[in-house]
Amino acid sequence: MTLDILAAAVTYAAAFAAAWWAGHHMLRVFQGERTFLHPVLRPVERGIYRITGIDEEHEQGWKGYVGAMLLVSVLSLLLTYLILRLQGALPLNPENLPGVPPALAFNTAVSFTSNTNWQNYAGETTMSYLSQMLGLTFHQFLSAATGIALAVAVIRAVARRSATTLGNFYVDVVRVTLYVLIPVAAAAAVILIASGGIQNLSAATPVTTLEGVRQIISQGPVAAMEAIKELGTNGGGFFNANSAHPFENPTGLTNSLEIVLILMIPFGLAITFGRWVGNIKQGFALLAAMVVILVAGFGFAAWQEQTGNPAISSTEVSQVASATQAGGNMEGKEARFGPIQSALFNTAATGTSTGAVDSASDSYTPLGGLAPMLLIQLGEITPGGVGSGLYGMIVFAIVAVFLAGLMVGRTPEYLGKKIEARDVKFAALAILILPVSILVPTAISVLVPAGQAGPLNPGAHGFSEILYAFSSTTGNNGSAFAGLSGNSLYYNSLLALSMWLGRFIFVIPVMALAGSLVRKKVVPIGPGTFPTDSPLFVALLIGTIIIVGALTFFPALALGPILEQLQLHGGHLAAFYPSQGG
Amino acid sequence: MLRNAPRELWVALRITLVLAALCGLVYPLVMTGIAQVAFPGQANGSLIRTSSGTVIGSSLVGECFYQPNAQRSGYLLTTPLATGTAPQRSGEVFFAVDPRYFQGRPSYLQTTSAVPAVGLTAQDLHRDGGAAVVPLAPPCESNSSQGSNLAPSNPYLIQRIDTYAAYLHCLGVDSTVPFRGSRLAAVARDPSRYCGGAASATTPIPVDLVTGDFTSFDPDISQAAALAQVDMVASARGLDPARLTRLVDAHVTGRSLGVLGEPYVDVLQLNLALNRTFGAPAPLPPPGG
Repeated sequence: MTLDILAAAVTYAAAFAAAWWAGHHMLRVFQGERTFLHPVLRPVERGIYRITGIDEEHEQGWKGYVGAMLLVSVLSLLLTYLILRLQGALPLNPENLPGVPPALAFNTAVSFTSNTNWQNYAGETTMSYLSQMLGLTFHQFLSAATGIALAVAVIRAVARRSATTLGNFYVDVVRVTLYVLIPVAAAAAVILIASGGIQNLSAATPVTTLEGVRQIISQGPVAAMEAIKELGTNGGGFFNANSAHPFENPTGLTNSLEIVLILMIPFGLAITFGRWVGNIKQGFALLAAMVVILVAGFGFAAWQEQTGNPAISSTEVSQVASATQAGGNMEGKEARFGPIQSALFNTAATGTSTGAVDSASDSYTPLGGLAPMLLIQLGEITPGGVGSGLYGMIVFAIVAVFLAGLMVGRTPEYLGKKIEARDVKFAALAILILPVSILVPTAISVLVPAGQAGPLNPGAHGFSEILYAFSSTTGNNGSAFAGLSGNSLYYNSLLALSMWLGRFIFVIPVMALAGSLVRKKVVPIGPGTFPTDSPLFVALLIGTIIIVGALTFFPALALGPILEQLQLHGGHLAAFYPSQGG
Repeated sequence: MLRNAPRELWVALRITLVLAALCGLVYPLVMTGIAQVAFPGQANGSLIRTSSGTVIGSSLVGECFYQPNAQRSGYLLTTPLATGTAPQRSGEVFFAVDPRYFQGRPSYLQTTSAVPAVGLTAQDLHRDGGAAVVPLAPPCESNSSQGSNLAPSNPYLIQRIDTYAAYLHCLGVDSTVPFRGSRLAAVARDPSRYCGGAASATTPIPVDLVTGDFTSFDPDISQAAALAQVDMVASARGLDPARLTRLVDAHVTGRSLGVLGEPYVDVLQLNLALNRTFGAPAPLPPPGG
């Protein structure tokens, strides 16, 4: 167990080191400076602008930037929808899988476009290799690049003085894809493959096992997708079991590598932000708030999972860690990861908007499952998805300085920009989308038969499955309490709506805020300025996040995981569902 | 902006297609090329071949070690074994383990359709009057990775864990062995006949051996879970347990870089070594024999 905690520490340390590099690298890339990759990739970048008719020097205002983002998102969504529908007639389909049905294809296209990667299907038995590559892996790059571009636009809004433009969406997307996402993903994919991740275009391999049973071993272009799945905080796996599948995540080393990939850009953007505004401590302040909440969530989940399930007889089954076993709550967890490093992965993937899992969240202990759910509900800002985490965090930072301003009775400022009523309204509007998109459809789903048909598990846990689903889709996370049967017309549609609200409707007030901020003059720091690079600010920011999240979601959490925890430790299992054997 | 709408749309369409080609075709195909040249073994599934070249599995995918041709007859495991009361049919179909091999982790995944590959028929699904029967998908079907998703508070999960633990105890896993030698196979096939009584003195079974993972084909178990089975395998094969203990200890894979992940035993590799060292066992008699 000591070694597991050490493993977590080593993994976080490696994530910080990678983020430090990535943060500075992205700063150079977005400021148009040369990097070590330019000799090779700069001609490619120029070629792309030539083919597509993009003017590299042209900059857009907030409306132009958002407009370009929405155009590309809708077009790429249509492209993926078509590929999924037509995959039966397209190449690279060795299993001869038929076209994906309309509702599922639509849900999946929205899901990957919005960086959610919610999956109402099992990849290995639904998607052809072309669909996995051109339909889905493509979006894992594009939606990540989109998120990062939006964050960079918000950074420019804060850093520029009296300007009107926020950059060029197309240029930002091309640059981050070429200089950051593809090189890092390629390097990581090589390590994954060397460790046992598969990467081929062969049909599945039938084998006869040692005991003479027929077994099918899946194949496919997995490792390339796995790398960008984590790096772009996407989370949609090639296989149904996601990063628990040994071909996606074969060893303890790859498990930690994938966590590093998940965290490096969200953490790194905080560094980029600090450097860009000329005070790295401003970046550290946001980073500190992210890290404190994430590590607390991990620690709590790890403790709960290692403690195990009190309902399992201790005379029949040993859940106690020893020199020869990891112990803990092992249902849904891989032997090679154990409970603590499984919790490390799942909290990193829910604290970011990744939603990859290396263990079954649905089978976590009640409070062990509450931690990842709350990390999503806090708004996907600890550290959040690539890009979306940073701009979400800046929204909360503005609310925090507003609260501080109320306390001392002064006009709040953030990085020298006066925060006025209009800005606070935009920030509040963005935050309000979370409860609207999570709690309202959850409430509807427990009331209507189509919604009630979803959960697998009985009792309070069934409610948690629904609550988790709408939290996950709104937060563009994509992980699930996977017992929920989401592949119905009802859930496909409602969950797709939540994904769209959580991604694109959230972005509009944020970008309006950016458009407002970029025009403002910078006022000099005075004696009344509340310093936003101090530990006091970090504490205030964490307080704001927790209070907003807790006030919004505590009543719902009380009906789900908290009730289940009380029942379980009181010796009460849920009642048998006559219709469901689990 | 509206004036430029057609031009904007044309730019957006071209950039979408260029990025799709770059990220969705060039990148994965180049990675496939690199993988096939540099790491062909890993990139194609870490397949294990026999000396004659036949593929018998993958070192990363678990196999099930159940009695051959036995699955069809179905094994209605009785509950509650653990409390020692009279056997009752619970309607759970378990597959009979082959006690001559180390077992991997079970799967508590429910299947709602027949699985012809292992002989699970539609009739099996409706055994015992239909509604009560909850067949568990066999963990051999590795083309579809899926966990049970059962909640810790779900009574089905608890019942399955307790029942399977009692079953393994009866077969001599972490237990004072009640049955020995060739009879073990028969006991495994019909636990309701042999295992109904009060459990003999036992120690708790390592949790990973009685829970399923998220794929239903975890290739690994903990060292404790392998050691717990030494008595069962030794008894079924007529071997000295001490030699098997040494074999298990020699097959523990440590943590990556000494710290990442958990130490584990790869069950297929262990069983292959078992056959190499002590010889492959003869086929078992057919079910009911």
